[in-house]
Amino acid sequence: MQRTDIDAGLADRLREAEHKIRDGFIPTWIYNDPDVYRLERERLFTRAWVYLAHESELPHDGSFVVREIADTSVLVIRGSDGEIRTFLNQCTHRGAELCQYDRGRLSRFRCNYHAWQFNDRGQLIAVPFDKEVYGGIDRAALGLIPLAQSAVRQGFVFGCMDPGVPGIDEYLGDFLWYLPYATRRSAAGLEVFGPPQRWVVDADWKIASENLIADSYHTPFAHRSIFDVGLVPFSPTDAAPGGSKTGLHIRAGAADLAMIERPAGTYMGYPPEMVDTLRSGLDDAQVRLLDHGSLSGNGTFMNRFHVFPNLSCLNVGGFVDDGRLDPYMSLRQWRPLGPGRMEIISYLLVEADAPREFKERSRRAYLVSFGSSGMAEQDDMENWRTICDAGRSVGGGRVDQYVRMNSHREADLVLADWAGPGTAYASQYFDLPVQGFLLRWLSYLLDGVNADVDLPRRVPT
Amino acid sequence: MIPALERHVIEEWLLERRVTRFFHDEAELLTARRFREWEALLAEDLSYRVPVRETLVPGQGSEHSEEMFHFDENRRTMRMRIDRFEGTAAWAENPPSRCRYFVSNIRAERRPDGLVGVRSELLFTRLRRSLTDYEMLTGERHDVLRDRGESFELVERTVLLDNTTLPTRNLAFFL
Repeated sequence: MQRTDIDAGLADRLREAEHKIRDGFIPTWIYNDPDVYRLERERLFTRAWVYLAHESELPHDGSFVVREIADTSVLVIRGSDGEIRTFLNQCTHRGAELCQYDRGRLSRFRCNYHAWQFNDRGQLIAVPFDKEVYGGIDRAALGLIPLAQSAVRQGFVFGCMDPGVPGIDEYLGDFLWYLPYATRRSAAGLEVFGPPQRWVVDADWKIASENLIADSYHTPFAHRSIFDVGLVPFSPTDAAPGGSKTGLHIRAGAADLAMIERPAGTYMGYPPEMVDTLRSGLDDAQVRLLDHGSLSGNGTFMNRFHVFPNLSCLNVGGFVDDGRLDPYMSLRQWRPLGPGRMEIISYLLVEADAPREFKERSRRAYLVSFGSSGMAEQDDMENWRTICDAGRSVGGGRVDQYVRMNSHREADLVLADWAGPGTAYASQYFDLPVQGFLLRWLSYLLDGVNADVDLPRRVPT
Repeated sequence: MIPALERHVIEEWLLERRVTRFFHDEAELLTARRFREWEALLAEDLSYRVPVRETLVPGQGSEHSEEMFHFDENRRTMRMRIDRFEGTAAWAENPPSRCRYFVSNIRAERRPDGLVGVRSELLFTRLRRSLTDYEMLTGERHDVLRDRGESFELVERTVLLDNTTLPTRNLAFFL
């Protein structure tokens, strides 16, 4: 994999940023800088494992979707042998884009330029005038170019462009222990409900990621309107520090995740039998956390997670019709398009075997709350955009953002007797996870493959 | 006496004239952000949908999804959205955008059930603050109106967008 050079000046700027981030400050320029974007494309998105699709988007032999890793177009296909494969979406002859559709089902892909054809396993199967012009071509050597690594874990299809980095299990690490809380609530597991919404916003993928990683602070303020109109089933007070709707934060492998308290007999509006199904597929330690993991000894509900670099999931609910809490799970990818610019790809995930009516209620709750028209998400876009706008300016880019929330008592927040893997914290009001995310990001930009990220332990006062 | 054929033509013309006026009045309310007055045009049994579009292999189904939408609203959720805009914390529209609705190619037809089916083309533009790049959406509206004599009420609206990936930072407006 190509490694681009990084000049001394840029390295110095990034080292300075690293120093500041450890101290609890983020220089605003990192959210809108051409050099940063270039390094993200060439050093981060080529080496991290990146989400590509959900298995349920590929139900049949020949089912495909075209997705992107940053700016690289990737063809994800289920072959006639049932296996899901990932390829660069490019003809191996002259490099033309092979498939120009977002989704569909094809047994062969024919290049528009010279009609080379590839099957659903990526093999080159037809070359016009093969004998006449090439004297017989080595088809085996000219199949579609696979991503260096790809893997499906609990329905999520990931790809990685670097053959040299550790595999998906090592990458996701401890998070694999928590993922079943989202994926194993029914016998059939999750599926996408329809295609994703996609839209473009002038904001950086990192600021969006940080919001989903650990910004409980903005909820009662940025999203006050959804409390005002009665969409969310609690008050701004519940979302304030110590409120019943904030809970635990866990750093596990490549992910950050949040758990809120789940009073006995409730499950975020999901049918109660779903908890029983989930329980039956978990080991004893996982069940203990599900039923008694909260600080008060009540149960827990994993209401969001983020997988480095750019995959987030939000699983909450809203009061939309009939005063009933309707849950929804939104999986979203923040795809960088350029400095300070991204495409948002937002899916609704539902239990595949849930009744149709449940799925439609879930869709309506999701659409009113999040996604392209969601009443909460609308306001995030504007906030994120202005930060990135400032990041591009001479003055605004130099402003160091203040990320020292609860850094004076970080050590006290760690739950020493936490029964699950990873590190658990007794609050969702702290900035350490954002610092951790950015240090991991910097480790890709600055040097070799990231191992365990050394988190800031104590912030000097 | 007007011959039957001509009467049909005149009725159709009158209907399209009235529907056109309705759309122009509706656009004025939306442009002026007079959302409460706009809400009064919505039927109690409203269905308001903007499907997600994808680029699909020709012949493999409609590009406009029947499962996922940008909007899938009834009267109740429309009221929530309007309550939000009328409240004090809809930051996405503070300060408000300047939106325009260009509605054209209007064809109206009275259906056997008495409702009026309308197809039209929509060009929507939005500017915010001092930005110079327009956010723009284009598509066709498929509407069903209930004739209330003086005016109409909107029973169904489906907006089929040309856009797959939306160029708009959010959909803090109605189409």
